[in-house]
Amino acid sequence: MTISIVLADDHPVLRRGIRTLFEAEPDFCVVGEAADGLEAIRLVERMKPDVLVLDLMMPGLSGLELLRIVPQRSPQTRVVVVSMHGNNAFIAEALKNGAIGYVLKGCAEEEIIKAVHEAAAGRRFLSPPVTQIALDAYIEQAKAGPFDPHETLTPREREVLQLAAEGKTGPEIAARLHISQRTVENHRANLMRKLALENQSELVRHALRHGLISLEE
Amino acid sequence: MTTELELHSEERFREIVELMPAAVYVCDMNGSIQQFNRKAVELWGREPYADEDVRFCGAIQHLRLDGSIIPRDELPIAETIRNGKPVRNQELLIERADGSRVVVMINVAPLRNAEGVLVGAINCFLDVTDRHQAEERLRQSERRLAEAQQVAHIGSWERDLRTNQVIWSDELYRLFGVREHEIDLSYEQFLNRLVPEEVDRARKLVTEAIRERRPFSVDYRIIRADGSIRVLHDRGSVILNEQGAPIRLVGTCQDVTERREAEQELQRQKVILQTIFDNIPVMISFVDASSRVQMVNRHWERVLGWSLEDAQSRDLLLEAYPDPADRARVIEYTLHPTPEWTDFKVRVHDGRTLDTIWSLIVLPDGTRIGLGQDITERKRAEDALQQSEERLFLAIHAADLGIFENDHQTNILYWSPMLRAILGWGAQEAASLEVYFRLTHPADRDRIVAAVYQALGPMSDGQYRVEHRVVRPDGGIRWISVWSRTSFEGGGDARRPLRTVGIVAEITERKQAEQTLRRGDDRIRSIIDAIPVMAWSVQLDGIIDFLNQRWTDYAGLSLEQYLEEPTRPIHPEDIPRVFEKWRAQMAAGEGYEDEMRLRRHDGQYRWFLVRTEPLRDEQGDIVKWYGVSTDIDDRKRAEQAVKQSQQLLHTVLTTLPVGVLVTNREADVILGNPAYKQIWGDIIILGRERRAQSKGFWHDSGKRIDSESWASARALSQGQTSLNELIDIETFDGRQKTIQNSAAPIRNSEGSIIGAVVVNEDVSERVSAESALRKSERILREAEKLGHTGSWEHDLVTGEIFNTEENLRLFFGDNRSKRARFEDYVDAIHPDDRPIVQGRHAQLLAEGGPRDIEFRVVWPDGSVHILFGRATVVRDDTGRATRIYGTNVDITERKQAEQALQNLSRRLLAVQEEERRHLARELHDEVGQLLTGLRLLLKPIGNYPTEVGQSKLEQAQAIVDKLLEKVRGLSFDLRPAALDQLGLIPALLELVDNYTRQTGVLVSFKHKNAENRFAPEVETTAYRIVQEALTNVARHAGVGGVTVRVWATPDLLSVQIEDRGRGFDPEGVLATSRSSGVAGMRERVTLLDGQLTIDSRPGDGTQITAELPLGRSTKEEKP
Repeated sequence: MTISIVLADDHPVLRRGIRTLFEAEPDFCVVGEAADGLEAIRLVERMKPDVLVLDLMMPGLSGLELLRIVPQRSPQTRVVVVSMHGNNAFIAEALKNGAIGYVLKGCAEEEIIKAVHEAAAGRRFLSPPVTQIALDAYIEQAKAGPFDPHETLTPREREVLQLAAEGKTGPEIAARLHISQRTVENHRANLMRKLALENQSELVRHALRHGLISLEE
Repeated sequence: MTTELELHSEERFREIVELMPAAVYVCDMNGSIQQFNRKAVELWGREPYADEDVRFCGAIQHLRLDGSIIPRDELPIAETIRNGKPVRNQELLIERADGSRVVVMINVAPLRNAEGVLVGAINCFLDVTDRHQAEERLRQSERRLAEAQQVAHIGSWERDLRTNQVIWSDELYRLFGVREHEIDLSYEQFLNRLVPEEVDRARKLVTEAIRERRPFSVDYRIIRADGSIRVLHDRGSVILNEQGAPIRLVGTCQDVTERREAEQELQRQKVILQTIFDNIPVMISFVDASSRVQMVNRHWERVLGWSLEDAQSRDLLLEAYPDPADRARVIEYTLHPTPEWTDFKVRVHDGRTLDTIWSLIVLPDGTRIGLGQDITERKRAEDALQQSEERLFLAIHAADLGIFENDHQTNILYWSPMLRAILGWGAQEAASLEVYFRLTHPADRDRIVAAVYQALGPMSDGQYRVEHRVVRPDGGIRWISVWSRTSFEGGGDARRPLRTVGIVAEITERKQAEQTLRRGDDRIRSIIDAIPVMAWSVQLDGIIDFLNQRWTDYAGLSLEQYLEEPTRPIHPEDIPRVFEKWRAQMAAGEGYEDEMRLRRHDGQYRWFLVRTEPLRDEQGDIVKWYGVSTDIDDRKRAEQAVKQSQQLLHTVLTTLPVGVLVTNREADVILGNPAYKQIWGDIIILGRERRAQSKGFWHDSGKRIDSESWASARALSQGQTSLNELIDIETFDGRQKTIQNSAAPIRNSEGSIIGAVVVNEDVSERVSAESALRKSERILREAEKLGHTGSWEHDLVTGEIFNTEENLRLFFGDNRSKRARFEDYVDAIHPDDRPIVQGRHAQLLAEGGPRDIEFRVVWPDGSVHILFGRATVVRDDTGRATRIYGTNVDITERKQAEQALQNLSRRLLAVQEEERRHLARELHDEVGQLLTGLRLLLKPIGNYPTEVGQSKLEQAQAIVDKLLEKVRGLSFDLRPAALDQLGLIPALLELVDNYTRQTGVLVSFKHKNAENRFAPEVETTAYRIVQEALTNVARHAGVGGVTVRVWATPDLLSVQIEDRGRGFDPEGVLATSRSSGVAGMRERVTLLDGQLTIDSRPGDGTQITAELPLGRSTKEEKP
């Protein structure tokens, strides 16, 4: 069975190279070529190809944008991304937005043909050196971490927070830390902002929660 | 013994008796005259050898003083010859040979021989006729005096200084309201009758008069028996004995109560006028009919800068109105004055030109009162001024002087109206030196003619000062005093007089007073002269038989002249009334009292009070009429002056532009002018009520003024003079006004407060204008403060420098000690810039060079500021620079920003060049080498056998892979595509990934709420900061791990890079400009108004936090 393909790449040389490559494959049928994102979406809509081979970096609509639109216009079309960018961020982003295959430009020719076949069959293909493991690690990393604003405080700010939570006044803190009262007020303002605290009672609550002070005392 | 007498001393005796001023003769025992001297022949009127009986005396006949004849045998000398007793000081009449009689006083002594036997008698006798007659006249005078006193209410008194006993005339008892027996006549008793507070003064004055032996005159108040108080005018003289010691006082008293009251009222009016005159903020000048400035008030002097003396001695017209057109207008206005306010520009003493308005009031006597206001400086009110009574007196006195001016070249002689009045010379009649000589009293004429020609002669010093009499055309005789000064031209014999100017004062009264003084030794005359009344008596048939000296002196008529035409001295208008009344009273036999005008010798009429009383005999029949005329002209004049003064006051007050109110001691309103009513809403409320109802608030504090705090209340209660207190008032018709309120006490001659003058000036418009001005100044000040702009003005004429607060701040910061002098500003300018600024200043003044300048100033605290100044020169009509006005702006921050911008772009260029150098090297060294290699491989590829070609192709493919890697790396270094395409977090993940791969430093990357897109500049900045910080960690920190945190709140995106490495001293790093890494971070953050915190200490790790505000960025997703 023939796999209908639309090529979308703004570089004519690369496009011709891929087309030449695909024409050698008997079950591949290139039904259209687009030089920018808008043209590509029109072609996909009209031709409803099995596979869209897409460069991520294109004028007009960007590749990532296109990825999100294609399923609405042609649900059966699978997208294989061909990109210069080999880093996980792009790959993860492309996959997240609906690409099924990701092939680096400059990899072996057979990689891309394999990717199209896999895509047509509904299977994911990532060209080496991209691996699913690295990709999973990346995706994990890219998620927002469990990260407590408290750790952003500088050592000095932690000292000021501690003393302020213990109920010391500005002058007392300044005397204890051998810094000027004005510096104390600066630190205090900075830490309140970093911790998104509004007033002294919130400051005390924060200190309690972090075990800086305890109710037993 | 006679023989002996004859023998031894006859010759000597003859000599002695001939020399004696007395008549002397000797009789023998028979009464026959033996010897006599020449004086005796003079008195007898003959030699004693006639045929008739000349026994005992050579006179024809002898009589006693009562007229009875003394027989010769009974003459005193006959008695002496009979009984041998001397006779002392006996007076008798002798009839001389020609029939005339003289009174002689005789002294007779017996003559005895050596044995003591009576041989004859000697008689010394003197002619005492004159003394005798004088005594007779005295007795008559005393009688008449008593009669006159009674009629004129003048009492006389006499005090014996040894016993202090006092004799009063009957009239004096009546003046004190007591009967003769009710009072113990001593001086102390008299003093008891005085108002207590005047006792000391009266006693002191009289004691001094006695000590200095001079006449005195004093007014004092007495308490009459009925309790009423009267004012007595007392004149007295001191009578001396032969040794010149005072023995008696004599004097007269006259009741002058009414006159004094009138005078006091006049004085009060004067004080009120004077107080107003001194206190109102209006210029006032009095110019008499002859254009002499009599008086100017202090306000006049202060505003115009000239003194009264200047006004009198200099031609101020020329100085005050330098422009001939202005001057012509002023002269025109003076000639045709109007009370309307008229504008004049006046150049005052110090050269300033003021806008003034003037109003001119002309009084009937020709005096012009000028009222002027300085409308240039209306703001300033005048200080209260004190014009001394003395100056007032002098000015008035001066007005009585006659003036003349003689132009010797044209021979035109000018006599002022006053001079013509003194000389009795008509206004239209020609004046000449000949006329002057003709009018001079014949007895003085020779002396005066000589003095005049001496004063005009070539050797003269030009001074002429004489006193002499003139005989007026109407026959009156006057004493005048003449002062003049002549100016000359040329010298030596050719010296000729140019012009003589002089003044003439009438001194008749002074001369009379002098003569009166000379006659002071005559007690009787002194009393008669002391009577300030004219006395006369009329017989029943209407014939006047007595006029006292004062009468004839006054009228200039002798008794004979008067008898010819008795009505001549009476004013024609008064004659019908006077005579009708006089006849009616005479017919009724009653006393008569009337006021009438009597003509003085010089033709002037004065008012008199004329009283007549009938003199009755024992049967009560009228035998004679006595009359006295008391001069009441002064009283009449005082009354008229009061009226005039009131009128003057009224005129002045009506014209004044300021409100004036006069109150009495009880704060009742006596007088208020229209301006006052206008200010307070047309209603004047009387008395204390006025203050209670007046709503006033202190302008400064806004507090209500209570009734005792008003300036007028303080003037009355404390005698305080208040000037220009600013008060907001609510007028009686409900309007709001602001006034300047002044008040001054009015004091009488004793200094006690009798009232107050209040002066109000409506300054509402001015105050509101000032308040608007202050507001606009405040806005200017605030605007200047906000814009760091100051302005200044330098008055080149006065040297005054005006600065706005902000300009002072621009020059001196917050230091307030410097600002006053021009030098302070010069000193503040940076020494290097001083020549430029001063050069520009001079250039600007000279021809107006560039107006803008940039210069540096050094504040007292040492900081340097850059100012941008712009100045304009203001010039007067002649092109002379009078003021410089300028503004300054502090452009230090702008300059610093410009500097920073320059630094930044310089570094940007440097960075750009560095990047290009790096790219070029990469392209040339890496890409270029690879491509060259590739070309070498591919070129001969067709020539190789297949297997070799296959191998070469594989090599070529490897090179291409390397090339791709290289280009991808270059591209990433230049700008990671992920940042634009995917956002901050993906880009950072890629960065961190590459970083760890390249450096081996592990990165713990944590982020929260930062997964969305931010504004490109925010993302770029955050990315570059992390990139730079990571680079620094790898280079300097010497650690294997680093933590990167990225988090966002709705307002802020924060990134933080923390390591536990070596750390550094942030201050030191920032100070050295070479470390562009940290500085670059700071610049990027500052550009976004963010905050960069570097917390690091050597050995203690580093924590860099950048906080970037998100305020302006939208979280839109960018493709």
